[in-house]
Amino acid sequence: MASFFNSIRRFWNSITTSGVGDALSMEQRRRVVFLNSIDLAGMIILLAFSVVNYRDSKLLVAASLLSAFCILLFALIYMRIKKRFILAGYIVVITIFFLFLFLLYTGGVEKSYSLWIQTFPLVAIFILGLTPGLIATGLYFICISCLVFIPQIAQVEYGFTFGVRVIGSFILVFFFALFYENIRRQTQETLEKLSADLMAAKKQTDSIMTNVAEGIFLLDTSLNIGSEYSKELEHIFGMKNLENQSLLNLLENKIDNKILTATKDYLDMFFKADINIQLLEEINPLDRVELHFIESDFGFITKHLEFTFAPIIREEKKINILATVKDITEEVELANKLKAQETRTKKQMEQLFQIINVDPAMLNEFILDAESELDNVNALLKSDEKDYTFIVNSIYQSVHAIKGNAILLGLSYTSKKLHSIEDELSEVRENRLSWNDLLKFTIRLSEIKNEINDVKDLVERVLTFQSSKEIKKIVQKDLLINAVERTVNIMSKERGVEINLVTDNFNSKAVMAKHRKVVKDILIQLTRNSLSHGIEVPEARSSLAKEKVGTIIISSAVEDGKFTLSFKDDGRGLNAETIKEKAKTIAAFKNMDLDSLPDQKLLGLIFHPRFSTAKKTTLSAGRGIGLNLIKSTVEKNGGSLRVRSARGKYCEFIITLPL
Amino acid sequence: MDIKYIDPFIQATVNVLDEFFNVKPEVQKPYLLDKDQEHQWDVSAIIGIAGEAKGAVVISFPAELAGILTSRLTGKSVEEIDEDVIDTVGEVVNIVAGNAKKGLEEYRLMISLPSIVSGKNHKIAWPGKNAPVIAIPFKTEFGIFNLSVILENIIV
Repeated sequence: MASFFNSIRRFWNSITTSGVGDALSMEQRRRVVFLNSIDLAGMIILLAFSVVNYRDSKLLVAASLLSAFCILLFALIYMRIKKRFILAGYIVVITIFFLFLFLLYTGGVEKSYSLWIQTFPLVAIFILGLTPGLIATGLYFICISCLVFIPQIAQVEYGFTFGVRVIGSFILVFFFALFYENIRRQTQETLEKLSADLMAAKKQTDSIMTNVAEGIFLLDTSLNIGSEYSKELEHIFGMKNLENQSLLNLLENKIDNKILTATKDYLDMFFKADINIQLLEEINPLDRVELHFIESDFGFITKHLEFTFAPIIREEKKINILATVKDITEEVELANKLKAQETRTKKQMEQLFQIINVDPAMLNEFILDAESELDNVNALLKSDEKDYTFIVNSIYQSVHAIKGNAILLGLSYTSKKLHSIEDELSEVRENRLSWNDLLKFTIRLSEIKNEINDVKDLVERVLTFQSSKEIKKIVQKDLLINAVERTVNIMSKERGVEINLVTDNFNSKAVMAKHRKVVKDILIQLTRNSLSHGIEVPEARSSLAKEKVGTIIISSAVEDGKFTLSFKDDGRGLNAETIKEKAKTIAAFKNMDLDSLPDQKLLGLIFHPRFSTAKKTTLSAGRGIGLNLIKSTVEKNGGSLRVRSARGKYCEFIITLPL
Repeated sequence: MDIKYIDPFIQATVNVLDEFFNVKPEVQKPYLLDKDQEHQWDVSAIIGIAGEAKGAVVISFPAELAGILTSRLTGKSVEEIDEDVIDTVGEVVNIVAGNAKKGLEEYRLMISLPSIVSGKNHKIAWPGKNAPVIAIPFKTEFGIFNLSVILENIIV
């Protein structure tokens, strides 16, 4: 039953909207629907009356009704196909015009046709509009007045009294139609203007919401996003259709859980009574926040966002939160970059000034040495070695060696860094070492590697500015002696001593390639020792009747398939008493009966890893590992080390290495 | 790089292998990994890290060990690195990352979904240019697997 009514309604809708196109305005559409409805209703009535009249044998009336029916049918079809509303309207109105006049002319039962004709002004004014409708109604009025008042024209006699009633009620209907149409038109115009204004306002809002560079949206009490939000919001979250999405769901997994919880608590506060809005602004957890959007391949896109929230109060009830969000990624990243760049540039400039004064070849050697030290330690880490103390000691020795070279080259930035790592190492060396210590120092090694890489980058850059000729010249100089000279130059200033370096009997070509680094390390370490502990300051030397200027003699010889290196200074020499006193203060020697040790043994203590006689720890001395490092490297290379000394006169180290 | 970011991953790795696979890994000495060097791993899972430190954590297995873990999980015997193995390694890393997350709660760190690379001497796209990689080997009765970490501290 319901479906039957539905199909009737659909049929009715289809008929009455015949000829309605998209080009028509609201007003015109209504007129078309009215025209079609009148047309259809008229057709049904005409058909029915035509049948009735035919049965009553009033053939003329039946025929004219039928022909009117046909014209209306034609108008409907014409309207449906051609969509010519005005022409169809005129056809309908003119048909009704003549039909009604004809009906008035025939009179009908008890002159009842005079009732039908009253409806004409309604139809004419609604279908044709005000002016044409008025003209048609005027013509119609003259015609019906003639038919009603002038006798003998119509088939029936209406009489004056009846005629006045017909015309009077006609005028009443006419005025009602006129007033109604007028009011309707005014309302229509006001409505259209209002809706046009609204549309214009909406268009502006839309263009703001589409183009504004901030995400603007409303949150309801369950913290869902409202239907009107700015386009940028979709862009920020990389998602479409955010209506009714929970803000917290959007943030989840992109920010820290703690911040997420804080955000929920914070936003809930907006809906509570008696909130301090200024306080709310201050405690906003999303004031500046990093969002990490997970990308397909283990990567992230990080966005820095700035959220603001404000309650919207209507009728004293807080019903919404107005939220804005701004993507400040570029600003933040730029600021971070600048900051990082500034730090980096400062560091690089500092290093650059140091590097620029050093022979590139020596820098190269420094880098190669440092890398080989790191490789050696790393190889130890990769090996089966389980003695953590031994490993940490090896790391310590490597760091120490690299640091020594860095100081030698005047790379103060790098050496400071290495020095602090050395400090860390010497702190734990005495303790029981755990796996975590090992991990920590592996991380430190990685930092040193980074540091060396930085120096390498700088050196490469410097080299591109220097001509290759110069480099060649530098390489030809004796790098081993050069290294010692630099140590002497730097340290003699530091310690206020004066040194005469004699290397006439040193033949650096006799040093085998594989021993170059060992020999260099040894020479540098011994030079540093000599300047730290051996050679006295000029005043002291004068009072001891020594030359003011101290002498260091480095010589080499090749005999019996062995390379012998001698390093001799004319300083304090070794003092067994001082060594004994010093040893007594060191925990590692507690268990030794130091007093009964012969002098030779006491002198041997200087090679112990924990021994150092320098009073203060500075970058260049007092680490105690130096001599120990030399001894172990020499022995590792299958060589031997001897020390000869006369108290107050000299100290000589003799190193032999197999060829 | 700070040890505090790495520790939770080590703990989680040991716990997960023990709890889910009844394999008790022994942590070995850490060392610096050469990014370009050939390696003996057959399948690696990579997790990205962002936040106050940036970088990646990688767990690499030799085929044999990955196969044993897979057959312990699925109950089927495994001949080669197939989808089951990839899924298992992905699952292992997922659980490790999930467990590690608990230990990382006090730091502002985000962890990405894992991605899997496999094949002989497969290449891992390490993030960061100069930053060195710390490798932490774990010894098990079925071979050695590796946890590698690369992290850059963000300048704050």
